[in-house]
Amino acid sequence: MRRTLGVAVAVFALVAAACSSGGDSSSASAVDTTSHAPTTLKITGEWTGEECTKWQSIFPAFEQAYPWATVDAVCNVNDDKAIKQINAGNSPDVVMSFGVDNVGLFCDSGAWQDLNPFIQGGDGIDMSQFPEAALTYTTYNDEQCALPFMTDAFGLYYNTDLFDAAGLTEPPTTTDELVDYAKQLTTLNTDGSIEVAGFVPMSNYYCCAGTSVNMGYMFGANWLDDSGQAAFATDPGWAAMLQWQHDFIAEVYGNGDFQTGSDKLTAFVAGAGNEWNAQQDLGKGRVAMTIDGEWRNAFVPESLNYDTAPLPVAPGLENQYGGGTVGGTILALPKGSPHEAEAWLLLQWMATDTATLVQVANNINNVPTTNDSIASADLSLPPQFTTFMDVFQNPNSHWRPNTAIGLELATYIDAFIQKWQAGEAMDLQAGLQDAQDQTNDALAQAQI
Amino acid sequence: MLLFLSPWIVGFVLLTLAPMLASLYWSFTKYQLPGDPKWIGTLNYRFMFTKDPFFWVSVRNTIWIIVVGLPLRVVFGVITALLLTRKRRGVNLYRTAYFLPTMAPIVAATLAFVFLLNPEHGPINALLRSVGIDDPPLWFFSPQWSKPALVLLGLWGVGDAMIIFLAGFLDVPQHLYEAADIEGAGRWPKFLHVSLPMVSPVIFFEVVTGIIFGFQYFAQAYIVAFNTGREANVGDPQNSLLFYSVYLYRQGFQNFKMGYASAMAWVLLLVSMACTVLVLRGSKRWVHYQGGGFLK
Amino acid sequence: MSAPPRTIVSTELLPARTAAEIVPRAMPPALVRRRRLHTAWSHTLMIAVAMLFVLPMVFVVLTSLMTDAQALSNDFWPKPFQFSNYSTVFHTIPVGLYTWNTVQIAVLGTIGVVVSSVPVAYALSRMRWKGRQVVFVLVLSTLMLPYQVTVVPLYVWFSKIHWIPSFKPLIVPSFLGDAFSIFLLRQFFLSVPEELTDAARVDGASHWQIMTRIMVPLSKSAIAAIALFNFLYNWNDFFAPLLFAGDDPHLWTLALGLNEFRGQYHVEFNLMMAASILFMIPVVVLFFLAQRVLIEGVTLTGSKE
Repeated sequence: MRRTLGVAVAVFALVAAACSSGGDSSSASAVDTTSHAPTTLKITGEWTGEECTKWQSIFPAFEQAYPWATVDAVCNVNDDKAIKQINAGNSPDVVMSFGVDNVGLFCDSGAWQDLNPFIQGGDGIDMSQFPEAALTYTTYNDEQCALPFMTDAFGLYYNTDLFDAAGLTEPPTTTDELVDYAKQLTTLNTDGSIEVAGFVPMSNYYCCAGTSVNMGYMFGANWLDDSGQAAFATDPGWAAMLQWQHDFIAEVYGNGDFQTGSDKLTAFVAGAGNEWNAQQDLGKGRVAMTIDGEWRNAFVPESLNYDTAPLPVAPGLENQYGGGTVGGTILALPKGSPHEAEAWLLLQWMATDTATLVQVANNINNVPTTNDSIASADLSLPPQFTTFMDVFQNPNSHWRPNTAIGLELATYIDAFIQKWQAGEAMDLQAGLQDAQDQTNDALAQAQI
Repeated sequence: MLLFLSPWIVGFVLLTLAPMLASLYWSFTKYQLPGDPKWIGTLNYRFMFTKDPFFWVSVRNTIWIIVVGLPLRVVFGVITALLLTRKRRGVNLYRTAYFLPTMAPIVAATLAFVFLLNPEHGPINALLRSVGIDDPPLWFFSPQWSKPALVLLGLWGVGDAMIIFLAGFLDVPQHLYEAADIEGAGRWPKFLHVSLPMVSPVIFFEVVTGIIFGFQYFAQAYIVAFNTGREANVGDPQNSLLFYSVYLYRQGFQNFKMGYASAMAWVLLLVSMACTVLVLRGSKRWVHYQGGGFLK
Repeated sequence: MSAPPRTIVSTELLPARTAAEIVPRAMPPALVRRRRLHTAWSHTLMIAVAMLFVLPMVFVVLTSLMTDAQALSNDFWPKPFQFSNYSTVFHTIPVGLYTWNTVQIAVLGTIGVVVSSVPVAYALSRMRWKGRQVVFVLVLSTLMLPYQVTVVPLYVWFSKIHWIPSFKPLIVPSFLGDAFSIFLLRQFFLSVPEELTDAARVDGASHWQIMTRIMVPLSKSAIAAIALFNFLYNWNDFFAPLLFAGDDPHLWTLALGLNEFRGQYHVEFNLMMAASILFMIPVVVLFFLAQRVLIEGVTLTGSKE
């Protein structure tokens, strides 16, 4: 019996060992594109529904340029799923990701490869064709772990019909105005619940309305201090931002009482319409102003009269007005990519081909990410889109800093914000201090 | 003999013993996939107990769902089983009705509750409003009410416990009741001194498995968070559904911190073993075995 | 690796052991009235409790027949009845593919458990060898083992041999015995009279022959019970498919597909409820068809040695 056990263990160990030795060395020599065996390149992306179909339609152009190549573009694969595939030894050739926040994490763990050997290799590219902002969110510690492919910029959308009805003409530019406007635009049902919300400053309202990254920009709150430590308690911007949110909820929805307002908003958020079609609340007229990415332009119903503006900013930060949060879809070469050299061809083609970038920008209303494509005369975007092109090119615009803990940088502060906006945390400074300590613990843990 | 046992031997070694040893070793390493394990001593355990806020959140949530959910389930299971013990017209129909929700697959049942308890559109809150409760609970959208909502879901599917209790009650020998009748005992004393002791082993079985499963509570919480909040945040709303296994899943299979997840798994193993032993010890006082135990 | 199936049984047809309670006898009218009142009251109570169980299901069914707009209103009654929701579900998600995936896993997994657990249970009940009790205790203790302790390494190893995503991690382990099934079968085998097998032994039959020709035919009901338990467990399981097959939508089971339904259809509760009902129906039908077998199983669970 003992011998059987021994044999079984040995067999298993052998199998495991044989399979774990995969090559890591990347060859960055040029691909012979004239006489190449037919190859299918698999790329996964996060887009779904209509955006997916439109995205898939760009690849025939690549297949024409490289006749040996067939592109298998798989939709609805988010970073959670993509990282599972990589860790399961089942990597696609190229990963297209919405996870700007994951660049540091995946770079650090090696899940995404450093592209520098390819950029400098035989099929290399010139990095100066990307605007500076697009490079900030794709690098981590000198490693270029991703390339930008279309980007997102965030701004304020507002329903001009509702504005007209309330006698408002210009969008709010400061957070104080945002409160005033929201008060005027909000209407209640007879049972006291919200019929039309002026503005919903909750972090869980759709993707972006009251998130830490967007509100953080509005209040000029820094994520890290100069030494790379979390700054939630030390930078007063965070406290100002959350105090403003608290007062907003009490004043606009609670008749002065915070808890009433918070409960009403939570119920309102629970009844939100589908984010990815015209049933979204802005399109339905259920909310008058909201913060969203440039893509919202493609989802609003034709009947909606609306306009866009940069994010309002806190008093004293007027010089920051016009910028915003930017950071969008990126392309990465995963560890274990089956055809690295060919995958790089696809990746760099997507990142730099002007016609493709313009086509995608026009089709799904994202901001193109090379200097040539931004300047292209072929762009045909709705007038409301200009705001986002401007935000992208504004020198003040940025995303969260990249760290080795990835999205965890926001985990603790977001957890506190959730509690705070629901009325479950009363001590603001203590909560921010906790979030700061917890984030620093996580940063320290990642350095081991 | 070996040939007959071989499936189990291979399975035990490859699927139980070797993974247990591996996870014990990994629990002392930093193992961030797709990297390799790196020995860091007891750091995972120290970080877990002293630094990680979500670890304690998940422990509290898990204790809550066991301490509140399990007794309610047992009591409700006993009550419904008692209701079904009497022979009366239509009892089969009642049994089917009581058992119906238990037949529903977990995903379907949980999604049904996500809808039923939707704060705005769900029929439960509509009912509550119609009887004059203007501010009905926000259920899965509120950290105070999300766990009670899951307890309700558990009570709805009480059928599996109920059916075991029912079999237990039906198994109580009739002569015991007759003896009690002769002594002039009423219904309550009969229940307390005859039925309950006779069914206590079954209740005990339910309590032990309930604790073990409580530590492994996962699917319902995952499905609720996935269908009410945003996908990345298993444990939503506000980590109120971040149970131990959910947090372990987040660390192991979303963050891929295999070392940390292994450490959490071993803490879970030790705690759930300790709990089982404690309950086993305590059970001697209240569990009544008719002629010997389960494993004579 | 996976948690043992919870004991699941149907309710009907449990032997009526309470008949002795009712002794027909002439009773004084006052007592008759009191009895009647009592009966009425207890029926009311039972109906009230039944409503708690059934009403949610009724809401779900009604909502599954509403229009989008109505599902978001506070109406209880569909107006009009939109039966097309059910066909819409078939158009929006590949129900056929998910069903086929689920069937493959459930059927192959069940076959695996049966063919591997029967010999083990036989060795634990009909063969005499040193350490039998130790092995039996080990089998039982793996039942208590939290799956979390083994799942992390299994995930890593399965991925190293490129089994993720695929059905292999869901099916292959079931061919290596399942503790719960081994336990149930052993209990049943022990209840088979020794004389039957001893006689065959005297006639020179090998253990293999005794197992396949005597024990298995005699234990059809117990084997059917463990097969059903495992089938239902695999059919409904969420965690293991999520972990091992969740990355590839082509490999999704019904449980995963249903959970991801919202991925594209945010608060379209009518469709979501219709999909849920579709998922429930086969399970409920199976329950009703297989009641006797399941009851056999629960009796085994409760049996003491």
